[in-house]
Amino acid sequence: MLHAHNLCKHYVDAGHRQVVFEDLELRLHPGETLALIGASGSGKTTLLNVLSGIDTPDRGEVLINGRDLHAQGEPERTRIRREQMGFVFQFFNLIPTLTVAENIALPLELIGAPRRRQQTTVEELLQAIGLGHTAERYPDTLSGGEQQRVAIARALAHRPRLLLADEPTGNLDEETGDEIMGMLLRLAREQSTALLIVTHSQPVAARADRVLRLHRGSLVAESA
Amino acid sequence: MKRLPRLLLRAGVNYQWRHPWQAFLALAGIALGVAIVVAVDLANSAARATFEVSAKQLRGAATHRVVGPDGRVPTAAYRTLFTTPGLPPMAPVMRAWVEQSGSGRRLQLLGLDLFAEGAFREQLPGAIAAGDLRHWLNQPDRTVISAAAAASLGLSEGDSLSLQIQGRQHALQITQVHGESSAATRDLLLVDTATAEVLLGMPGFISYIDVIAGDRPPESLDALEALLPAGLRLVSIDEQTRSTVGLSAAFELNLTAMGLLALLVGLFLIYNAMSFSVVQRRDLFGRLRAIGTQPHEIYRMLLSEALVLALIGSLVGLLLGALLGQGLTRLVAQTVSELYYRVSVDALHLDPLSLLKGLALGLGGTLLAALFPAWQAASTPPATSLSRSGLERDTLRWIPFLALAGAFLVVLGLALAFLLPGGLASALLGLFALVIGAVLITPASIPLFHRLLQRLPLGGTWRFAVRDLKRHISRLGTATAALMVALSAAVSVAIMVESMRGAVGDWLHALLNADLYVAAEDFGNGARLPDGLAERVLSLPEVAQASRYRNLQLSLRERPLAVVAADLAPQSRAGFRFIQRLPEQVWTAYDRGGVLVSEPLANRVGLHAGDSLPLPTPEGERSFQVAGVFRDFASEHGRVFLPWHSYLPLWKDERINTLALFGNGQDAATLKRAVAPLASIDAPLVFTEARQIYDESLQVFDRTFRVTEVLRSLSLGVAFIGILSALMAIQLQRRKEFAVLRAVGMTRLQLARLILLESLLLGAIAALLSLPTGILMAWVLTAAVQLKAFGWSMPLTLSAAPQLLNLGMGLLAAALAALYPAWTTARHDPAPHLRED
Repeated sequence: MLHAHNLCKHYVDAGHRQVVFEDLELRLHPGETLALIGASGSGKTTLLNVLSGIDTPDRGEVLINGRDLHAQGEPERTRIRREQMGFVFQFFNLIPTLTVAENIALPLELIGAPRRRQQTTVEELLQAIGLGHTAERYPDTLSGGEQQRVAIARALAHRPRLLLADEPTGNLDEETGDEIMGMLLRLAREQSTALLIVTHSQPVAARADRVLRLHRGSLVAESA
Repeated sequence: MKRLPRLLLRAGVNYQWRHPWQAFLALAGIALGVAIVVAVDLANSAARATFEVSAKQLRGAATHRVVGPDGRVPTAAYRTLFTTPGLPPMAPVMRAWVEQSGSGRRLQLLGLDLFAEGAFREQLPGAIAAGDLRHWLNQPDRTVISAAAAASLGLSEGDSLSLQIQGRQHALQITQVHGESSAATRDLLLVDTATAEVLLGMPGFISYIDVIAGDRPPESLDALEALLPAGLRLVSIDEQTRSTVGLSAAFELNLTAMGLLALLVGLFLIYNAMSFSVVQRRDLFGRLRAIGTQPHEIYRMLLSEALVLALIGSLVGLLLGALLGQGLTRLVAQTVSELYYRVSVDALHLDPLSLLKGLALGLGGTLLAALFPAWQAASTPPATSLSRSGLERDTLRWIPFLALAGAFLVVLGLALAFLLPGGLASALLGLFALVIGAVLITPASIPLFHRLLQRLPLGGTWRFAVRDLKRHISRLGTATAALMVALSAAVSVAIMVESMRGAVGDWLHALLNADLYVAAEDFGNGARLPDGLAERVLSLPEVAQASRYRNLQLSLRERPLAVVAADLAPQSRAGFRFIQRLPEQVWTAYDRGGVLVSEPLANRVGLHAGDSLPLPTPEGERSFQVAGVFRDFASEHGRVFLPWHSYLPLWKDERINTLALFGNGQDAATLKRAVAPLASIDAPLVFTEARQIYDESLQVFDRTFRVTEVLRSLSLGVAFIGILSALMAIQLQRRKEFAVLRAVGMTRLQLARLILLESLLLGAIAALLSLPTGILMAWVLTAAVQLKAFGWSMPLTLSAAPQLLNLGMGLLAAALAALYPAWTTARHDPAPHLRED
């Protein structure tokens, strides 16, 4: 599903070259859950952005189903993202001017799904996340946990092959975080979606199939 | 192109809906800009359309007109033509504007010969078609008027209407009031030609002969033209109407330019509002990009949002424009009547073309203003939320390029205005290039002011305020530019009006150097002084010298030309200021029969001293050598002074309109006492001192610029909303920062003071920048626009008063705009904002 090969990224800060990661290798199979852990500032989010095509590597390849993501132009990368990937952010990042139902329907709208399919999917996902009663509410009227549930539903609405989650429980209390994590894993498995979670929470990482630590620019396997 | 995802459009429109004040300010910018443009256009077209409708109704089926060299045609010439077989149908017409005694209300007197009328004016509603011959024939001093005219005069059938015509009192009996009212009949008095001849004091003359060419072969018109006595001409009425309406073209274009300037200020408001909404949603755009929204979809989302705002704002603007247009129409009609052609407008004419133009400008302008913010939004990188400081850094990087482009536009504007040919349009285009250039330079000045102010030993809140100048350059840059444009428009118009007023004042002062002016009452309508009066006045011991003037209304290249036949006393000659030749050379040529040509005429026709000027005379066309070109603000269409000894052999009419008297050292009152006994009841005289004419002339001048003043104030109003919106945007963005300041101990008062100080700095910078910009604009306005529009050249007058007033206005506007944001920000509880991410 996802294969990062020989991936390098560095920044130049005040004339000094700062390596974020170098000659990085990563594979993620369909339906697999991978947790990426590391200290703050270790480059986890940068790696996630490079893997999703939001950021570009200095060298190396990111193959999505055998296709080099960074060999494509920006519009094509965006198209791959909108069709094959889903995102869950730490700060939920819902669209404040759209209702809960509209937020969930947005990825379907972007890929041009018919209105009826949008409606059915939204209803199914709202039931799945237990927020059927909030369809017409705006995000700012929901709690943090509820907003993150809506974000997960939005990320899965168009049935992506790859789900990228950046600290999905980082802004939630332990109990809610645990509940959200359970839901994320359940829904990803139900859809056979490969899931890459960036986190610095050990309990969250422990629920993944595999755990990798980003340390000094290299990935090191950890026991799950 | 793929359709824009529905939810993206919804997200955009919902954003505006959830930020009503922001949407309101953007809408206000669009609406006010459109309203001003539409109002100006409606006012211009109302005067024009009313004149055209009125002219069309009064001409009826006539297609051509036989006119004389001084606005009259001998009745004998008409009789000869009328009785010549094979010529097209003809009807004599007498036409003049007269005054109702007491009220001074102007009415149009139309004298017609019912026997000749035939099919001429059947369209004239109710008046002639329904006219009963009994009302006209065998009864002198009878008139037929419309019900609307009767109602406005407070008269009804059978009443007597008192008129003052050429200084004499007359009474007309209203024999019939017809029911229909239109632009033509609202001020119309219909009389028989015989009555008109007596009333207008034109025995043996008519105003013109109307001709119906209809389907007749062109040869019949050729035959008519060939039979015309010397001095008479056959003209097409369509062309005559067009050229009359065309007289005010430059005036209208000037007003349109002022309206567009207001729209330009409005566009800054839209830009500001859109740009702010983009900055506020950078995170959102980043999220949208992360989940796969293409840049062009975000671009189109923003433009669609702008289009929705533009549509609502423009529609509101059209409504406001129609309301504003009503007031402006009266002002424009008054000016047009005073300067160009008499028109009576009592209702707004909603010209669909003006409304469409307003809508197109509103939509097009808003989209234009939204292009850059939309591009900024579309180039938001996915997921990453660029910080405010990132945007400010970006803006700072762009500033030098913008300033360079601005400098180029300023130079281009000046070149367009002064160097390139192309008349008024290129001068106005140059003016706009100059304004836009100055706008682009404005943001570059903020870091300079910041550096300068930083060096001042200021403390506390001042330091905060100065620091923020550079930190918020993207927002402050546009707000400052918006205020700068409005203030420089105000400065430039003030300088232009002042320069012009000064030039007109100097000109009047030099020209009006006689002790006393004597004229027949109603001399404005061509009333002449009694025969022999000049000789009797000159024989008085109190009178040392006198100049005699006879006013003629001729035409040159289908435009009216005021010709003054003058016997000038040496002192009157001293009042002329010549442009091309030395006075001695000019007067020598004048005494040899040359004519003096005014500067506007010389500029329009391209005349120089020594050239030849053909003029229509009763003896046919004659050429006169141009003795000199004199500075003149009396008419933009031009004036010609013709030596008395050249005039008399051709016109053979010794009667004069005005006498300018120079006493033997006595004051005007003594002179008046000496001359007064020469007046009679039949021929009352008007005595006017130079001072009085001077004051009255300047009053007319001030009235002419009232419309400009109104437009200037409106532009300032739009700019005020601009600063208000910019300040509110900044305050909203900085809620958390202010909350932190409050949390660490800044008092409400200190916070309010900070906001006020920031706003005042903005106002001061805009006002300071508006001085050089305004002066440059004034230079273009006076030395290029006015010269090309009206043919007037004048020196630029720079006095401190308008500049200081402008600085005050800038500071006041900025202070007023800061009041609400300062109040709301200081009032808010900081706690919720401290929790914001």
